[in-house]
Amino acid sequence: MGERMTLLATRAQKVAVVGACLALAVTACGGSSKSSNSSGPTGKKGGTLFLINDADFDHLDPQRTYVSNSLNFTERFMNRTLVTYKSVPGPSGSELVPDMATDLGRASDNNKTWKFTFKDNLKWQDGSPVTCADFKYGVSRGFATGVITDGPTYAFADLKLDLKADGTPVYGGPYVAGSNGGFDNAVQCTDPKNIVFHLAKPIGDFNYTLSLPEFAAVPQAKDTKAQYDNTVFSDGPYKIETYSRSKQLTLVRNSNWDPKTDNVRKAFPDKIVVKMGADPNVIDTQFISDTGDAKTGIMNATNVQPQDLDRVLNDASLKKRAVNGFDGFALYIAINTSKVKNLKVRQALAYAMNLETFRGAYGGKEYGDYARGIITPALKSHKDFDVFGIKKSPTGDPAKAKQLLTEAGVKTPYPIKFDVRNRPATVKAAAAAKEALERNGNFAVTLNPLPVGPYYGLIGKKATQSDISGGGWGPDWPNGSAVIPPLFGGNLSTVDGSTNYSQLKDPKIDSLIDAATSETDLTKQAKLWGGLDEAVVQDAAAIPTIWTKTTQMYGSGVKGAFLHSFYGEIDVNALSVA
Amino acid sequence: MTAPLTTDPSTQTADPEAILAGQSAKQIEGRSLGQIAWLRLKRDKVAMVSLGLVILFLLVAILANVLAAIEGQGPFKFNSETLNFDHGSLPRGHFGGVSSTHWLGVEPTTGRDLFARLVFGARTSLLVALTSTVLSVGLGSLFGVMAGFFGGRIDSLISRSMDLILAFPQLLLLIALTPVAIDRLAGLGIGGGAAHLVYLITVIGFFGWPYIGRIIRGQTLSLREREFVDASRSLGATNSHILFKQLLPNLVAPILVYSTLIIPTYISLEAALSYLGVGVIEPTPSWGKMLSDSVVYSYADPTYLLIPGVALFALVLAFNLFGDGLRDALDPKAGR
Repeated sequence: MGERMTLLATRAQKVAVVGACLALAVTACGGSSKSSNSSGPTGKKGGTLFLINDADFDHLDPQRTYVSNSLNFTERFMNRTLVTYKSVPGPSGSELVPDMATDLGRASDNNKTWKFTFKDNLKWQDGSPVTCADFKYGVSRGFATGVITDGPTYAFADLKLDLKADGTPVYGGPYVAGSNGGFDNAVQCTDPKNIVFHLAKPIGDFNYTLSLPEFAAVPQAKDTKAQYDNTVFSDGPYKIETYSRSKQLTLVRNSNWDPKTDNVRKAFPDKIVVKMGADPNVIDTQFISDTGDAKTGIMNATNVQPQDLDRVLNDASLKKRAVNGFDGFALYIAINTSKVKNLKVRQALAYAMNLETFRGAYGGKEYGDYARGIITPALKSHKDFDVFGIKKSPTGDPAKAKQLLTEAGVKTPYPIKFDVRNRPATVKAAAAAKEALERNGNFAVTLNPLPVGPYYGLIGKKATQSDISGGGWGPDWPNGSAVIPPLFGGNLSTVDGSTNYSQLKDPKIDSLIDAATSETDLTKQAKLWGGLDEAVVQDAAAIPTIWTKTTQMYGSGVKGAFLHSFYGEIDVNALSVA
Repeated sequence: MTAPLTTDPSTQTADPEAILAGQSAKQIEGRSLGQIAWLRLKRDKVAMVSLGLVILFLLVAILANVLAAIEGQGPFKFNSETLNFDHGSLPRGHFGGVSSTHWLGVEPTTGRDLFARLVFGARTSLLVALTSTVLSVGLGSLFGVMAGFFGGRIDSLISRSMDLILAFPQLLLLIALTPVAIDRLAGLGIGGGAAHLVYLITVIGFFGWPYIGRIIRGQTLSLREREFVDASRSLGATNSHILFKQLLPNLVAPILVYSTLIIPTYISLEAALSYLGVGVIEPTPSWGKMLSDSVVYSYADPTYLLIPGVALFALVLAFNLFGDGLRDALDPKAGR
């Protein structure tokens, strides 16, 4: 264990954090995207597309980008990767296609070696060629953790590197002199046309990881280190013209991008303008009234707020300018198994929950479906089980809950402290849970609202985490391997900052996780993850609550908007405004 | 020594207001300043109506359980049957679900009874506002009068402390300290919602005192040079006598007026802090929280916005008008 796992967890957590807060998730494959308005690849060139956002992007530096709307933006407009997601509505949006590589990679050595071949005529915005060295340099930047912060750390966890005694890589990135720590062997430019990754362990779906811009190219000569967020050097269809942080970002066409090398990006608008800083409620109003920049703009960082949902989805003139569908996220309540040790008490909590009032607090049916597992139905790893009888009675089973508490032989009312992220709807949902647990079971619940920003850091402190904590999870790629190990892996149970918010350390679960990870047949692997999902819910390490949906609007001047199943938001790629 | 400072009661002029009211100077002789002010206040219709409203709100707060019991609802119960979960969890029926069982309708997304939450919310909001007013006005008056009267080092010490507190990034401090403070309070046996209330009252009260402190200090500075203070001093009065028997009664007017005007401010502050997660926590109702929750529903459920809005408006207006009337009554020379 040690630092590697910590970093791995931090990465996974970050997506969850941001996704949960905006309900716009990095998702695997949101199955039932209901978008009707997908005019496909046909669109006219020209015009200016506006993105109306409440805040600045967290990062645009590819190695630091890790929030869904930033990923969507940078991957589609400026930073190409070896492989990327299809730009189509529906579940196939989560399928990989080659981007700068000619295929999806060729694995050998029991999935421990992955080889990719570059396309021809790949160019930077100044016309110089994109080389294998640029890719290797890009990956190396992620190791400079003092400078390149907040990004994913798959490179740390997956590549075959020399490790220090504490499990962290010896390699410290390109900005410090010293040992290369095996990095040169882990990422090899065998010849100018090929790049090879050597992994520490077999990973059957490693190419999904490579779709993250953590593995995008950066030319060493243009690297401005911590300032690279502002000066991103583009190999995509657009490049930065002006960037006034937290106010406005303007992109213009990159004349050196060759559409013949790119079968994903459409690049219809001449200009992309991102406006930042409006209140989410105000953004709703702008799109509902369809005026100003919103007329040729889309929602990107926010989604339709609960109070406007019903209006937008039931007024035909508004609904035709909205996308609505599952965003790949599962909300759940983690039960801290180091504090609530008694299995019967944990099960009583689950039976006492009232999902109807809980989901009601978020806005009811339009906010999502009642969840029965942490792996959403959109994933191939999903297994359809119903441990706590949600299908029959989403309002809970008071008799069963009370009976389990009696059997457990604990003093009642059983005190429960509940960590809640201090957002209006989230706290209301927690109040609903409190009422249900006290009414249906014999619990005495105290809500513990924690600040929104550092929430996941606070509940990640294993010693001070409360009895139960609210959370949300969207996987980094469409497989159970991006859900079960980070949330329930025993190796993370005592690591501060890790995403194992159930603090679960169950040898039976851990051996099943090991078996699933090393399974090279992905279909078989998916089955194993589904079984694990059911096992952790039976163990009541978490109470799944909602598989969430998202709703976003776009202006009447925008064509080609659809909900992308991986990004869980409008795909910025296929839009046209002319 | 010069002429003795004797006063002959017969040479005192009669109170002109008393004459106005048709009372003889003889009858008014025994009346205190407070009685005179009360007489004036009684004649101010606006102030009396406002006072009536303030008392009504206080009664509502005190009798919250009784009122909710009469309606037959509680402030914490989720009434799923009143909501349409297929349509944004909005209340079923007209005007936010107003019915004979739910007199003011229900809260969208939870179905909690709004009448019950309103009366219990009055309790929270008035408790926070009144206690923190008492705290900040008490501290402010004490330190303000001391700074103004003693001057010199004591003044410098108190004034610089006030500057320090005013210059503090209070909001950041509040947010950063909340978890620690709540834990500490829990350690003292004050847990859950009570801890948040105590913390809220303490911080609002503490960070509020320099404002009143400055006003009182300024008033004291001018008062201490007045003849009656010199007179007291020359007659050998102690400092504490001058402070509390001579100066403080003369400061009652600004203190009372400031208090009635600061109460509505504190009600709004409670709302803002609750929104930032420093204030009262779910499921405790408060008017401020109801208002901040309901603002976004102005289109979908306007009744929900109207209820805490009207209540807060009435309360704030009542306190303000009453404060104005009180000022006129206590100090008829000011403002007119």
